[in-house]
Parts: sequence; structure tokens; C-alpha cells
Amino acid sequence: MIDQPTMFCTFGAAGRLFGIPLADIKEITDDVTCTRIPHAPFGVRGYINIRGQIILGLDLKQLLELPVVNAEDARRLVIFKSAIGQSFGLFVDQVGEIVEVSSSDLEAGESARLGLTSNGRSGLIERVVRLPEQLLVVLNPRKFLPIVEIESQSTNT
Amino acid sequence: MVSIPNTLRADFVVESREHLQVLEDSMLSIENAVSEADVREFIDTSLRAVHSLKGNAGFMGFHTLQKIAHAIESVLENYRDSSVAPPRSVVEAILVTNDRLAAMLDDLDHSDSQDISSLLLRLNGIVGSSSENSPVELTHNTTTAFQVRLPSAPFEILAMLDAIIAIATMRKADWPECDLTTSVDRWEDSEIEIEVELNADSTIFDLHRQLSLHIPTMQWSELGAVDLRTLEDSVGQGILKQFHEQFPQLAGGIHYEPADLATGVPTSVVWIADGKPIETIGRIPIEPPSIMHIPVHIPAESVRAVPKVEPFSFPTPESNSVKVEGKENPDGAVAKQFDTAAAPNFGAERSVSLRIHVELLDRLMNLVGELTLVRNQALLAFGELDGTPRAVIQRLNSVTSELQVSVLKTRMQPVGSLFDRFPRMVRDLSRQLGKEIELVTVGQEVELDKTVLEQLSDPLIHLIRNSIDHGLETPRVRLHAGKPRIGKVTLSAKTADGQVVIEVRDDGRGIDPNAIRTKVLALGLKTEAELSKISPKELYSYILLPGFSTAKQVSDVSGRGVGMDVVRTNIERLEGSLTIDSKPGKGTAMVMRVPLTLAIIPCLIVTVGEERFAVPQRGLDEIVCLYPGGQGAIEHAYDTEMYRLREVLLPIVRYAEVLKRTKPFNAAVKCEIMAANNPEERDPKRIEYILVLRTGDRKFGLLVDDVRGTVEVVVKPMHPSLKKIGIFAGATLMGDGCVSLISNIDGVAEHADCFGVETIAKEEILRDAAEVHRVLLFEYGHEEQFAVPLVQVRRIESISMDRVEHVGDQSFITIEGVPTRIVHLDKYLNVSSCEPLPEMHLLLPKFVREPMGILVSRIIDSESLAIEIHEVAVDDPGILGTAIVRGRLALFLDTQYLREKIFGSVADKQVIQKGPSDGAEDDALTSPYEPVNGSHRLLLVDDTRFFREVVKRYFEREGLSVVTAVDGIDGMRKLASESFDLVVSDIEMPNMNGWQFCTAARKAGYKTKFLALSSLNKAENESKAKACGFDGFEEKLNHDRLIVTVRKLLGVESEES
Repeated sequence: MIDQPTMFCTFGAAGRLFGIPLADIKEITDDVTCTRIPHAPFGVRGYINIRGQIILGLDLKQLLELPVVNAEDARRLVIFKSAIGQSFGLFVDQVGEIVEVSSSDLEAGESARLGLTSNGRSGLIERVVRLPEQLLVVLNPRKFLPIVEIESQSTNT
Repeated sequence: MVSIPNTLRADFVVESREHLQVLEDSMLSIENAVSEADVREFIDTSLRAVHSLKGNAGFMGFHTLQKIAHAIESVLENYRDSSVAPPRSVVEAILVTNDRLAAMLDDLDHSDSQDISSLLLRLNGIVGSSSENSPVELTHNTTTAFQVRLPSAPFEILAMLDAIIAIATMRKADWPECDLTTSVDRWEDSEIEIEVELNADSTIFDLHRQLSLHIPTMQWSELGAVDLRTLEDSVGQGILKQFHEQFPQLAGGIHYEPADLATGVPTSVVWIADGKPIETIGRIPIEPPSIMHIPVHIPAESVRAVPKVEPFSFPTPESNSVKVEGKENPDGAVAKQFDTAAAPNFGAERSVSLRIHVELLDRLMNLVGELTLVRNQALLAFGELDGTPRAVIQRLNSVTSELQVSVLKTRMQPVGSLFDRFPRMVRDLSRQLGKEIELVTVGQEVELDKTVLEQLSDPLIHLIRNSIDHGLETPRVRLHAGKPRIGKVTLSAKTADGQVVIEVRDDGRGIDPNAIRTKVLALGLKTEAELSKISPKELYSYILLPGFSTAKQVSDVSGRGVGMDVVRTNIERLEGSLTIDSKPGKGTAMVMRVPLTLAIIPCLIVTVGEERFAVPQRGLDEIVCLYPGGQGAIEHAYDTEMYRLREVLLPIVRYAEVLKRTKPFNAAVKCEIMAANNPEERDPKRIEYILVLRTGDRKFGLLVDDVRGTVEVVVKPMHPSLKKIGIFAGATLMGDGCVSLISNIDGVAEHADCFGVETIAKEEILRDAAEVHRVLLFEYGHEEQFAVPLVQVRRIESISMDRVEHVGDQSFITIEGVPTRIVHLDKYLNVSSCEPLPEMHLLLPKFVREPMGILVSRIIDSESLAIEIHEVAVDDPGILGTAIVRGRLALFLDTQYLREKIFGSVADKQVIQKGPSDGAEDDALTSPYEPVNGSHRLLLVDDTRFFREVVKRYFEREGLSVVTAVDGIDGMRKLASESFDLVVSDIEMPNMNGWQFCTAARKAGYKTKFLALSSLNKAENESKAKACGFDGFEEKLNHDRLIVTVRKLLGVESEES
């Protein structure tokens, strides 16, 4: 197999490094006003108006059950392409560099196999990449909305 | 012919035109088809189109169209299996037929009376011949080589040759090897003779056409007539056969010119052999003449009588219109005048409707939604500013609103198009079930959004089936029950409260409440004790539950217990509701309420804490403001908070609690909420609002922190991952660019476990809208804010101050050619003066006959308000009262006072001239005027404090002593305690309305004169007023008319004047 490098957009949340395939991302904006949605499941920050389109904003830290020091920290919104899921985005703390990873450095597998904690949400984590300085946790954005739906079922009944 | 609803008919025509277009397109493409697969596809497409056309025509009862379509179908079927392209002649025949059909569609009523025998003959001719020889052989037959002699006209021929080469292989007869196209110069001036062999897919027609097209001046006779026997082509044969049958005396003696045959049987001038016309039997007046005026030579010896040729209906494709003047036919042969209107009439028709792709409409709709948003943003941005931007924004505002309305209208369709489907269904069902049914449809013209309409189809089908299957009895049972033999199903639509109410009503056996009770008990949904308490309507709503059917026998049609819940779900998805009403033995009514449109809805913006929410106004009845220290408070009853709203106890739902708690409420939660909101601990300074909301037939109060105003919002659905959240119907973008959630009233009630209080019968649901007025807010001087109810405003005119003329201390401006007196408020009222601006506004009041306008420096806005008028806050006779609007004191102007100040009171004037505002029918006003005797006493009944105040002042100024009452009950009380000369009563009032009041007073024996004073339309309600016992009916706020009528009724003026 030819070694084709994959581009990842990296970002920080609660001091950890996460990555999402660049190809999945439509745009990144910051300083957006978010309208809270009462009754929405944990992990949903609210609705955001992006040029007339209403985007559902999720909170990465809440979804991954990371410690939230100040909810206002996460102000940057990563918006995904429509192929990933219908108009939604992810609030992260800060957006980092774009890294190129060769396939040999991609360590794929279940989070359980990787030795990560399995708390029902680990499905969000697709693989771990060995970067020279630190490890990059690659997320699968396709799993975000389904998690919200499952969450929603248990919240509203 | 069957009588067909016009809408269906119009649909048929539109649809058929589309089918014809498809047929034409495929026929045209087939000529250029490359592969067999393509040919097959084109034939299939055409067949489908023709087949649909045939089916529709048959269904609609247009048998002629059906026959023609059938003939085309037969022709096409011949070619389908072989996948061989039909020869051009066949294509041509079909195209001609296509045109003929199009013409017939233009004149459907006469389509059946048209003679189509020749058309059918031609088509059947094709079928006939091709069934003997397969299509393949047919094309082979046309490859016959024959010789053509060409004259010496090289350059014209050159053009022609290119065309011919496309259809045939040519050889110069005496020099086969010569390439014709390159050796033209060698032809010199000698005639040439070429041999032509037609290509496989060409017909002799093509050759004829090319020859005649390119060499119009060519003397065809020099070529000699083409031997008709070479026309092996079936079409040619068919025509020839017809012609000979028609005119046997000509048989064998006619010389056909090839060019004529290309266009069918000759319909032009018939000539005798020596070149003189013997008789004009037909004329084709429309150009191009080079093609049209080709004579047919008929040898003289063969013509005895003047031949009368039937003008065949094969217009050449090039013709624009064919007009044939038929003459008398001595032989009595067929001489039918061909109706010109039936001929294809290209271009003459300007269609008034256009089919637009729904996607495009949706896109337009979205864009308008966005524009509305921008408009809202602009309104916000410029709201604080003065001057020109405001005017521009106002224009943007009005244009946007109009655009929005127009775009919404493009999506509106009459429900008739839906209703029209049912007669057939009812007919079939009645046969199937052995019942006699009459279907009555009412209100077909009511319009609904396309999306709503489409989704109503299935529920309606289901409801009608239900009515017919379960509701209506068989004729025998009906007769036995003393009902008419024929059962009646009424399907009606009407608009009410911005919704469309669609009702399916039958006069059948009704629903047996006991059957439902039994079933409810059997399913264990309620206990017997609980059941005994619930209302019939609630009981009937059980039918809408899944799996609930009381039908003892499951039939083909319905009764399986699925369906009604689906109907309900479908309707609820449309934000509509379904209620059932039934009387055993009398019938059942299923009432659906659906919104007119889903896209843009007016909403009330409320806040809870820091958050904003939009509440659809559709379900909003009124807003109650809970002032600290004001009357009315929230009280506790078991686990529910209640508010005493006039005669009903309104259950209260705290929106803040609903938003806070994600789990649906139960008794424990409710108690918890009540404990947290102990009335004694309530912040005494806090103002709260109760939105009185309707869900179906029930009402509840939603407690919010603040009401911000109304906005028209573009609804965007909730994100699919959040569909579970029931308390919101969607989201929208607000003017400031933030997202707001739109509340789902039903969902909120359900979440809060609040059923609401059942409202009284519909007639008695009183929208307290009377207390809510639309007022115009404006400024004159900088200090005060003025208000005038919009009903009192005729118009607002922008004026430039340099056009104002001054006469002494009075100023005038000409508006509509009438010098209009400008009212400077500071001259008549104790208010601040205004610095003159170059551009100002003039408010022209309604109900004032003299031309006057109130000068306005700035229009602030118009707003819907529940006005609480404080009567004595400002002591000025020109101010009716004051109210707090947008945190500012607003002075309500008394326009009648101003008018009297300027023009003198009505009493001062002997003759009142007719002003420009109201014209006509006020002859009474021109009568001599005397002041009313002050001893007259008058009772004024009106629930609206504002109107009560305004009208009371009118009367008091006339010298009447006025007692007021707030509704009919209060009025009755006052009537009993005092005596009056006249009662003036509003109609729409709570508790006891004007109709009931007057009826009751008359019944009680009061002989006092009664005058109805209402904002209802006079023409529509005058007779009802008479019937209730009123002596007169006047519209609110028309001061002059009111005073005149009152004077008349008091006997101050004689009836004759």
C-alpha cells in the first residue's frame, strides 16, 4: 500500500490534543453567539447562526466528559461538511496546526484495544497517532450526532 | 359529455399539453436517433405520453381525443418491438396529428364534434400497411431508384444537391462516375438527368420536399409527373386511396405534382390541364407562397362537374394557419368546413399560467425568508435614527412584506384541486358498499399552501372512507331510521383565525359513545369512574389513539384500527389539529384545522430569564400582565397553579420550570414547583406576564418574564438529532442575528402535564382582541409621544414644508387637489412646539369630514398594544388619555376635539359639507342642526375602555349624560336600576355580547331604543341587529354618522331628514 499522508486539523480541549481529518471540516469560526437549547442532551451547546444557516453546536469537552473549567473557554467552532452530518459543529478551546501523518504512524483500533477508558463515548475516538512530541487522538466526527441522539432518548423520557 | 369540474378540466388540458410536448419532442429526436436503444427509448417515451393522454381523455369523456390517441398508439406500437425508427412520413403523420390534438385541446367543447375520419384513416393506413409488410420492408420499398430530370439552373441546384445527398444516393444518368457536386460547371445549360436511389431511412417525400423547396421556380411539368406507382410508401398510398374514393370521376386522370404529395392531398387551387383554374375549391392564404401555391393539374377531360374536394385537414408543417373556403357541393359530396380554430395556432396563445419547479419556489421562499431577516435587522439598526434612512427602511419594509405575501401566494392552491378527487372515490365506494351517497363539497376556493395541501390528501381520503364505511348506513337502515335514503357526506373548507378548517361531515349513524367507553375500559385506558367525568369530545378523541377501532367488522375499506392515529399524526405534523364531534343517530363531523402556511408565522417574542423565545401567535388568545399590587394573582389548587381569568380558572405553566426540567412533569415535580413559587415569597416588584394559549379546545396560561413584541419569523425545523425535544417546534433567526427557539405550545402543555381548561363553545370564545389596539406612535415636539389608534388614521402623507401656504396664522397644503388645513398641535394643546423640518409628515385622520392633517415631525412606529388608559394623567381636553408605550408616556389624541377646535362643532354648522374622506349616503348630515336637550340619558355598553372613553366624550360633547357599562350583564343591571332614553351597545363583548344583551333586554320588556355600535361590518350585520331588537347599527369611530343616528333615535331630528 502506498503511504499516503493524511492531513489532520488539530485542536486543544482541556489541554489535550485532538485531531479531525481535514477533509471532514468545512470551516472554522470563532466568536459566535450561541443560543442555548433547553432540554437538549448533555454535549449540546446550542444553535449558532452561520450566515443565515442554523448550526447545531456540540461541546467537545462535554461529549468526552473532560473537565470543564470555564464553559466559555471553548469559543472556537469547527463546522463539518454536510457529508459528516447535518449542519453541526464542535466547540473546541483552541485550534492548532495542521499536521500531516503518514499511514504508518496511524494506529487504528478500538479505544478499548488502545487501552483508553471505555465509557460509552469512546466510540468517538477512532485512533491514536504518534506525533514526535505527543500523541494525537483522532476523533470520528461521524459518531457525534448519533451520540447526541442516544443521549437525547434518555434525557427526554 | 360528462360535466367536469373546471379545475380538473384545466388540469387535464395542461397535462395533455405536456404529453403532447413529450410526444413531439421524442418524435423529433427519433429522426436523429443514433442507436437502436435510443430509438426504442424514444418510442417508449412517446407511447407512455400517448397512453396517458388516452387514459385521461377517456376518463374525462373526450372520446375523439381518446380515439386519436389510440390510433397514434397503434402506429407506435408497430415500431416498438422492431426498434426500427419509423420513417419520416410516419413521424410526419404523427406530428400532424399531434398538432391537431393540440388544437382540439384549445377547444375541448367542440373536440367531439370534429371530423377526424381522415386523420384516423391516415393513421390506420400506416398501421394497415405495416401490419402486412413489416416496417423494415417498408423502408426497403422506398429505395426504388428513379430518374429525375433537372433543368439547367446550376446554382439553385447546387444548394439542392447538398440536401438531396443527405437523403439519397445520386448518379448522373449518363455518367455514373461523375461527382455531381464538383462537376456543376459542366452541366452548362443542358438539362441533366440524374438517377436517385433513396437511402434506407429516407422516403420519397423527402426527395419531393427538397426538390420543391430549393427550386420553387422550377417548371415541374417539364419533369413530367412522377408516377404515383413509385410511391410505394404506405402514406402516399393511403392518401391516394382516399382521394380516389372521394372523387371517383377523377380517377386515373389527375396529375399530381410531387411537391403536393409531400404535403398531403392537394388542398390548393385545382387547375385544369390548359393552365386555367376551373374552380377555386380551396385556398391556402398563409405564406410561404413558394411552397403553398403549387397548382395541381387536373386534365380537363376528366372533370365534368365542378369537383368539390373536401379540404383535408393535413396542414403542412410550414403553415401557420390553414383557411379553406368550402363552396356548395352539387354532388352532395362531403364538404365540411374546416374550423380554423382547430388548426394549430402557434404563437397566438399567450398562456396566463406557468409551471414552475417546486424546487425553485422553495428556493425563492428561502431567499424571501432571508430578506425578511435582513429587513428585521435593518429595522433594528435604524430604529433609533431619524431622517432619511428610516424612510428607506420603511420602504424596504413594505416591499419585503409585499414580496413575502406574493411568494407565499405562489405556493397557494385552492383546496378544490384536492376535493375534486373525491367524487370518483365516493362513487366507487358507494357501489362497493351498497350505499347511496351524495357528496357535497363547499369552499373549494379556499387556498392553502401547497405543502400543506399535499399532505392533507391522505388524511382526507381516510376520513371520507371512514365516514362512508362506518358513518353512513345502508339505504334500508336509513329508511328504517326515518332518514332520507341517500346518505350525505359534506366536505367543506373555510378559513378561520388564520387557519383553514376542513370538515368531513356525514349524516350517518354517528359514533356510539358507549362503544368507545367499552373499548376504553377493555383497553384499560381509564377506569369507569374517570370515564364518567370526561366530556364527550374528550371521549371521541380516544378514537384517534393507535389500535382503536369500534367497528365490529373489519372491511376492505376501513376498520382495522390503524389509520385514525395516522391521520392525527399527519395533521399534527402540519401543526394542525383534529377533533371529532358526533351525535349518535345524527352523524359525525371530523374537523381538521391546519395552518394556511408553514413557512412564515407571526410570533410573540417573550423572555424567560436571559433567554428569548418565540411563541406562535396562532395559539395566543390574550396576554395578562401581573402587576405587583394589581388585581389577580396566582393561586394554588391541588398540584396546579391557577389564575382567575374572568369566569374561568386558568391553569398556569411556568415556562422557566418547563425549560429547566427535562423530564416530563408529574405530581411530585409540580408540587416541588409550587413550593418553590410560594405566592407569599413572591418578589413584590416583579412584573410577570401570562400568555393565554389555546391547545385544541383547551386553554392554559404560560408564565413568562417579559413580552418583547411580535415578529414574523421564518421557521427552520429543529435539528434532526434533537427531534425528541417536544417543547420546541423549530428555530429561527432574529433580527440581531441570534437564533431563537420557537415554542411548541402543545409540547409545552404536554411536558408540564397540563391539560388546560376546556373553553366554552366556539361562539363564546372571546378574543379579547378588543383591548389590543394597533396604534400609531409619533412625535410632534421633542418632548411628547403621541398615539392615535390606526383605525382612526386614514393615511400618512409625506410633505415638504416649502409647499405649505400660509393664510394669516393658518397654514394649508394641497393634498389630492384639496387645500388641507395643517394642525400644529402646540396651537391647540398644551404641548411642546416643533422646529420646522424640510420634510414632515401629515397624519390625515379618518371620520373627519373637513380636510385637515395633523403635522408630525417623526413617525415612531405602529404597535399592537393592550392599552391601559389612565384617564386623568394629563389634564387636557384634547387628550383622551395616556398610556405607557415602550417605556414612554404616550398621549392619545382626540381627533374630534381638534376638528371642533378648528372647524367648530358639528352643532355650530348649519350645513356640513361633504368632505373628501367619506362620500355618499350621508344626506342626514345636511339637515339643520340643533343641540340635543341635555336631559337625555344614554347608556353606553362597551368592554373596551378606550372606545368607551372615546365614544362617551363624543356624546358628552353633544350634551348627553352618559352612563357606561362594561358588558351585557353589567348593562342589564344598569337598565334595571335606572331609566335611559337610548342604549348604545358594542357587539363583541365578553360574558354577554351585544346580540344577547339586546335580545335579553327586549325579552325583559325594555322599550328603550337600542343602537348597535361595532367594528363589525355594517352591511353584513345590520339585519342580524334588527332581528335582535336593535333600532340601528353604526360602525365604531365614525363620529359624524354616530351623532346623527343618535340624534335621530333620540327624536331630536325627524326621521325624514
